[in-house]
Amino acid sequence: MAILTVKTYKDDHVIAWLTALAITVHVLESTLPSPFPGFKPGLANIVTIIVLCRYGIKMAAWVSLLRVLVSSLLLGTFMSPTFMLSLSGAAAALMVLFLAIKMTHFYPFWALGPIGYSVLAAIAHISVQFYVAYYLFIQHDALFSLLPVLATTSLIFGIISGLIISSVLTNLENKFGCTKLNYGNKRY
Amino acid sequence: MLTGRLTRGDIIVLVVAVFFVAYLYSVYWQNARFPGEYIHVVTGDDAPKKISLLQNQVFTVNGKIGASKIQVEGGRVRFVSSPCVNKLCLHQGWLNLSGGIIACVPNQISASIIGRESRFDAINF
Repeated sequence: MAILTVKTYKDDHVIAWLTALAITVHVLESTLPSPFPGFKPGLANIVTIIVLCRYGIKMAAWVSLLRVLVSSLLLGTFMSPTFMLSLSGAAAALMVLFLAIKMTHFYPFWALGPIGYSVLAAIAHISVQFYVAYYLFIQHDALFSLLPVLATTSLIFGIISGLIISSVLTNLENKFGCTKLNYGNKRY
Repeated sequence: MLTGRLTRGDIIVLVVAVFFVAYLYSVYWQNARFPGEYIHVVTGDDAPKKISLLQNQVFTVNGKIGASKIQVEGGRVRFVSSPCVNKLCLHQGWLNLSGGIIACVPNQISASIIGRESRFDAINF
């Protein structure tokens, strides 16, 4: 019987550890009580954006999508509406972040920082999630009355996440002596 | 620390995001999206009468215990007088959004606003 060996690289370990962290945050967050169904702070996105700022979009995509997959398996929501919403939101956030990074690459003058990335991701996340919820699950016009409130909360939590990300990155910088943060301009 | 971390791009993103949210409020929280076109007045077991909301008028409907007056003005509707005891129908005041309904249960009269899009599915008190 042939023995299959998988060679892992440094990136794989980084992805695994950071995904584990993101899953922990996601699962812990899912146990938090919410005043309204559907309103969640989205703290797991903090990990995604920290990965984005330090390692680039590719690693962030791995961490984010693996996080959605594994935490849905842990929470027992795999392939359920919750999972679809979670996946669509994560994918939308990643796509917008990718565009933002490309933009930053071409126009460094308008480079975004953690707060900008976080707010962009949060707004993209809620918009796409909302349209997926509308077209797949609840096709009722009354749902649109909820959209402004959802967008407001996502903006507020996006800013809060941005502040958390910013302070985490600063601490990492001080602790590990990174001279310059890589805001996704290039892989490390 | 905060200002040191906010880049130009961040400020643009924040401004655009705030405008986007404000735009959503202006589009989706505007009651003008749900204008009524006419009202259905139901009395007892009779078929509903269709009355246009465009024409200002006061009309009398004979219910189970007496005559109720309903007023239509400027796309709104209200009960003006009713023979019932509690006058809940009068206290509801003006209704202008499609899907809204005023009912006088003792007199068995209800007036519901109908439009292309409904503001409410149902209203309970």
